[in-house]
Amino acid sequence: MSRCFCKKNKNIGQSTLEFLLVFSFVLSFLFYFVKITYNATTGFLFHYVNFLGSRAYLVFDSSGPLEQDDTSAENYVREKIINRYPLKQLLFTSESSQGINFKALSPQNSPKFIGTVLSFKQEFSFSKIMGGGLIEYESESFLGREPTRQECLERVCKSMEEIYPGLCASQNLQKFVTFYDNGC
Amino acid sequence: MPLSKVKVKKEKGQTAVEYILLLAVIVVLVQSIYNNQLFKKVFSAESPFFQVFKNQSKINYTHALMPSSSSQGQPHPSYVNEKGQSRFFLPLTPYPGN
Repeated sequence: MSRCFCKKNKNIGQSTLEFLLVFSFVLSFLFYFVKITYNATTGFLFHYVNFLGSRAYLVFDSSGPLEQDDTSAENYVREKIINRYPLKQLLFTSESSQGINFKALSPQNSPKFIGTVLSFKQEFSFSKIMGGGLIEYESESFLGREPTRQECLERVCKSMEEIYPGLCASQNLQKFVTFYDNGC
Repeated sequence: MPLSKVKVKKEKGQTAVEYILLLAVIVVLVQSIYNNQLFKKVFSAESPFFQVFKNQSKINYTHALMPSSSSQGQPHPSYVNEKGQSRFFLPLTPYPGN
């Protein structure tokens, strides 16, 4: 009987290889859902910041000229509310592609939808194979805008002019303002 | 012929060569799968499969509810009710009025 020197293939690495393949698939699947959850959580913070901004936009009154008041309100909200929160650090994208954009819809420009809109771009997934790429989310809050003191003054004055024509032009408007409210 | 003079070919580099060749085959295989249109249809940033999830995620984020397929192209149901009336509180007349 001749002795066989045939080489027997070993299966020792097969389970490791299978484990690595399946593990990488499971990990990518898991992180896909982790990223969706993260997007939702980040989105809620953006919603919250936008809501704060919308509330500030609702009541802001610069006591300045009527034409510039909405612009002043928008700038105030951007500087004091939106920029106050570290929103940029929450996004896994470069600063140039984050696209954090805040805009206020004023009663003059958008009579139906008065409020604030905060939009931002976020990676949908960590991997491009799993549907990655930027997606733009938009948070809206249409709380409206209260009439300003100047606006109310003009309305009160217009009503009084029906009794005393030329009153607004000749008198100082400030004396018609009530102390406790905005005069409306 | 004396046994000591017989040259035996060494097989020392064979596994390395096999490894490199196999690796090349695997790389070509992975490349061809990755660039395959069918694969891209399912697994890519622009795939219709993930596009559906992306759109849903986007609409859900802004409106908190998905519009029905019949109301596509119409104002979103969170803006108008079934009668087409706005859900927002609006002034009846522009302010300040005369």
